[in-house]
Amino acid sequence: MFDKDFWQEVWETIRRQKVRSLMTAFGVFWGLLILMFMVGAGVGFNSGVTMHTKAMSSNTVGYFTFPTTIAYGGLERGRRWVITDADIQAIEQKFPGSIHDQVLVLEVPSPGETQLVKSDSYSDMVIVAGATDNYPSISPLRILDGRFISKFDLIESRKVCVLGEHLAAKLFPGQEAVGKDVHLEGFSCKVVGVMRKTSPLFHMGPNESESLYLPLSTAQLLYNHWDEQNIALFHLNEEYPSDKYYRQFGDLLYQRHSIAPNDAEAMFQVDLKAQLSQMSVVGDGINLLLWLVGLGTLLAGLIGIANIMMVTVKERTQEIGVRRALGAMPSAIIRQIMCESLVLTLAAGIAGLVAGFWGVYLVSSRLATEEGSLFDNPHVPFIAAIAALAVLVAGGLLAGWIPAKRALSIKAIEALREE
Amino acid sequence: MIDFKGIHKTYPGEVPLHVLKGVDLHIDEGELVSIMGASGSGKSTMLNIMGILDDYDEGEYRLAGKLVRNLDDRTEAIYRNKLIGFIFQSFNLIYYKNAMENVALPLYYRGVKRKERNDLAMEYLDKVGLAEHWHHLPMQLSGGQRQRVAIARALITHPKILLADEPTGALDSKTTQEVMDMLCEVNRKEGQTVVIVTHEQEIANQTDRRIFFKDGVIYKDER
Ligand SMILES: Nc1ncnc2c1ncn2[C@@H]1O[C@H](COP(=O)(O)OP(=O)(O)OP(=O)(O)O)[C@@H](O)[C@H]1O
Ligand SMILES: [Mg+2]
Repeated sequence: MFDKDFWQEVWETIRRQKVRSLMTAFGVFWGLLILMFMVGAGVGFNSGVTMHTKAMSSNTVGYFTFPTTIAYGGLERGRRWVITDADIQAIEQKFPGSIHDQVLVLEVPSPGETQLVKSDSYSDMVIVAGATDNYPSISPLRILDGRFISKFDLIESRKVCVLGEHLAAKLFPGQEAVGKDVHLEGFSCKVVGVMRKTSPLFHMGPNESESLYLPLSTAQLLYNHWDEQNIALFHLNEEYPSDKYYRQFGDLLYQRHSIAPNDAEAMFQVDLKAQLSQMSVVGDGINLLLWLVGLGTLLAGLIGIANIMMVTVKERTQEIGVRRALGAMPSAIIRQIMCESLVLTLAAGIAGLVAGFWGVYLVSSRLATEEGSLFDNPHVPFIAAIAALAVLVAGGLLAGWIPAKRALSIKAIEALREE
Repeated sequence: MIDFKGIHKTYPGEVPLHVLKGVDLHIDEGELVSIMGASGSGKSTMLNIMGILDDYDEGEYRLAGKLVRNLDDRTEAIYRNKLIGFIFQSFNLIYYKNAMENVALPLYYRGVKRKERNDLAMEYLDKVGLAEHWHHLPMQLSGGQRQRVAIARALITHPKILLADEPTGALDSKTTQEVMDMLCEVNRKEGQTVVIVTHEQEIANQTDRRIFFKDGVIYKDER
């Protein structure tokens, strides 16, 4: 039953006691807003980690070659070496049926070395790499324009390339890069795509936003490294769990290239499965932290409410004393105060929720257009938001209920005397 | 109307204070009574017990024929709302309500609709000469005006008994007389029982019956 008179009285009480009402409302509003942001960030971070790594089949091993650091088997230290096609065949021979798929990269002219890349009017020193067409399945990147390297590019060793977005902007400012020619030392190639690196956590080859990517076969042929690659990732079949085999593959490579077994720096070997679980541990940790901070704010909101209650408890008690002297039923007093608290905290809470959802949405949509964000689709699970709201509303109700109950439990004259 | 038999009241504490030591008092319907006595003699305590704002330890208090003892909260509330109007020295208006709303408040607890109770409140404000000030908050009113609002609030339910604890204690002599005139008038015209606690002989002189309080008992009762 809607008692208009009653709700009018409730509303008037809220409206007329501006400071008290606003401070209570602000406590609830702020607590919820911050909580939503924290939870949103946590969720976004976790889903970011998942997104950046979901493309990788986790049963994957990776090898990145570097110059040796220990002299061994009559060979000097500082020797550059790479993984050859023969190495891959040797692995397949020793571990038959182990490799399901492979992603290969060769940096040219040599790993880490930049070279001059020119358009008709601009130039830049950048890293150039050859990659297989399946490269994007491992390294999180987005094609902004055109396409990535295709199978046909590889088969025909076409002179095509994909530019990082920053490189494209330098070489072709204000223009579309796709379809244009870029000139490298001794040859030119046609731009077929522009790409952007999307994960700050992981990239396999050189920074995709800054570099130039050729088809692997093209790079191998043009730079006379026709059977070489300095980065190799192998997706393994199920019978070959990566955690068990990534060392064995590595040992084989070391043997074949006469690298000291204790020369850990000559090759970076990685078991993606272990890597991923580490990342998700970090993700969980950060998530937990954000939750804690969020809950802290929620608690601060509650303390704020309680504080207002403390400050106004005497005034309230006195007022309740007056109402009692005028013949108010205790139940009527309690009902009014509870409804007052409910309306106030609920309204402020819903405002906080809406503002929180909206703020998180704004941030989220801004992030979506930004490169390499750690966060993916930050959002607040509805149930968490509602739970937080419930906690604050309960706090608000309690903050109304405790002083009211107290003011009703003492004698009317004592309530009146409270100053 | 009011019947005290051997009322005792002790305030507990480290040193318990025996304030009322067997008060016997009978006040008939329609009487205009003042209670006098030294500060701390227990006048307020007695009035609070009359108004069921406080309880007592021993004896019997009958209000309009009904025994008032260990009443539950609801019954207390009903008695207060139906029988008693209270006027305090410190007015006890609700600071965020305007004059009209303060006057109308007791009717809210009687379930009178907003429009009706506001109309009636305006009538009573008019009676105490404050109709123009209906929209003022207590802090925008002078002491005398506040007390008149409080009187209007006490009168609006037509209580059988009007209890006033030093109603003019915070007022100057001119407004004191105005307030006294009002209290005397409701007693004469409406026949309401009025009990006034006061320090001032002048006020007491305007009442029909003067009760003097000393050491927790009535030691003089003159008409
Ligand atoms: N709640 C209380 N707890 C303890 N002692 C109290 C309490 N209320 C009053 N007293 C004491 O009881 C005695 C009587 O108080 P009461 O207020 O009834 O006196 P009074 O006659 O109204 O005095 P005054 O003229 O100053 O208003 C005083 O000594 C007072 O200090
Ligand atoms: Mg007193």
